Amino acid sequence: MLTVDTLHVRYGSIVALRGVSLTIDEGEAVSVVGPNGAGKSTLLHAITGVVPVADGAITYDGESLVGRPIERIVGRGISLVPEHRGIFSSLTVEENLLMGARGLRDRAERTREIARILDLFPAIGERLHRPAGRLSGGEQQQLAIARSLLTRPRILLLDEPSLGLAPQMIDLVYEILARLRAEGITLLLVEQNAHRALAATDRTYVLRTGRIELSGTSAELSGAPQFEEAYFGFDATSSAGDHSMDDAP
Amino acid sequence: MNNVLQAVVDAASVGGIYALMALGIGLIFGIVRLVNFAHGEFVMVGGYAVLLLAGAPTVAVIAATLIVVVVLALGVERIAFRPLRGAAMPTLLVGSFAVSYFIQHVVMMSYGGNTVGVDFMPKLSESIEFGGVSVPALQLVAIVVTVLLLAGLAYFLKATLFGIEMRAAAEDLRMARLLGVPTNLIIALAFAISGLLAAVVAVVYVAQIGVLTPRMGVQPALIGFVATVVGGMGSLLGAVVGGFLIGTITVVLQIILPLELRDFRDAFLFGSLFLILLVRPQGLIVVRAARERV
Repeated sequence: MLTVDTLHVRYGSIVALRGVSLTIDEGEAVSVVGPNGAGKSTLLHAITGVVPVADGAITYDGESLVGRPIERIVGRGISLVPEHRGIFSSLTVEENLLMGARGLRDRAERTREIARILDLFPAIGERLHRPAGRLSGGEQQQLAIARSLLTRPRILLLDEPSLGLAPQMIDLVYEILARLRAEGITLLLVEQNAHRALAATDRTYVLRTGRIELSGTSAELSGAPQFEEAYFGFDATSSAGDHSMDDAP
Repeated sequence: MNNVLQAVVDAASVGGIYALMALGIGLIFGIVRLVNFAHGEFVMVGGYAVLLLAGAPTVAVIAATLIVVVVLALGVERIAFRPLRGAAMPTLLVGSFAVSYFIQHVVMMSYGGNTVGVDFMPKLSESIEFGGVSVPALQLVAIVVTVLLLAGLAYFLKATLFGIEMRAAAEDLRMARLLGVPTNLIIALAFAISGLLAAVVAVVYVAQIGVLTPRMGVQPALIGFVATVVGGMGSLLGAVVGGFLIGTITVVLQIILPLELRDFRDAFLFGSLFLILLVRPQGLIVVRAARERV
């Protein structure tokens, strides 16, 4: 469904991605994990057209996405829930949802779809007329996911959905992802929180300093010794257990 | 008592025009982070459109002026500002000065640099008795038009999908694009509305002062810009508040300053605005999105 082939991205003289390749099939849940600065967000930004591609190919349903404007790419059914959620804080919760539903046919259909999505996210349904900036971090993350789902994506890209959230909120967000996965939505999840990501997906890629260091099914990689090595870039077994993989700040 | 009422009407009519100028500038700044100094030239071209059409029925003159200025604003966006989208602030600023001077000099080539008189809607200069004070009809018209435009714009921004998209784009242009908002269309629409506001200012202003020069837009644009800064850059409500505040200070200074100092009113006006900014450098109304982005 989505194929990334030897992708290179540069910011001026800094190389952010150096030859990243990965594939996602329809209905699959795939995670890309790696430390801060590995290039995870850059990968999602390249797919959605936010940053230009220096070299390589991104193909979606057999069609190249390279050089396409953002609106065109998201119009094809790719939706990004960005890092820090991208909530319009001065708009109300309902107006934020409306921005997700804006492409639907008419007012009646938008209202119906928003009501339907709120069944999945009851917490934000009670706060529809509040400015979205006043929601808690967990509620904002739910709003961001709900808003993206309203665009009716075929593939949902999530950038660090657990970032900055309290543990119960992280549980909640991952419950929501599990439900979406059960519904058959294709997921590409980017996380520093590797344990969570492995548990929530079918396959995982480990990205470090702009390269894929390791890939495999999430079941294989959980607990495999080479996983920590790939993630941290050294032999983790020899250097005491003071680097745990799920303590991302 | 009558003097107070007179002053309130003065402040509301002057402040309303400044508020419309500030809104036209603030609307564009909110979305593309561009301080459009050519906004004054939108007003000036509107003034010359009135001159060009003088003699035609008033309604036709007003309608044609609105169309001319809206088309000019759309053209400036498409030709000058769209290619600069996303450029650094100094580049945008220089771009807007270039457009401003270009339009001024094109008009100068056609009409010369001297003052031209226009007699537009002379009946509106007559006074109406109103609650014991006599007020020029034009002042009342200016107040009514301002209130209608502010209400219309508030409705558009709050209650229509385009308006909500415009606010979303103003807060986070990239996120709006990621949700499929057609930002080129939304930005063009913002320029059209900005042009409409400038055209209305042009019509009222020309009827008020009755003379045109190619540089007539510079002063109102400067005041409009200052109003957006004092009100809080990026906040439309702030722009309106800033406009009315400057109008009020202007009128109050006109009343309380001794006769021999009145010629220097603007020195006191800008001095007091400077004091406001010393106390509240972020402006009267702070927008969180603008603060995060700077």
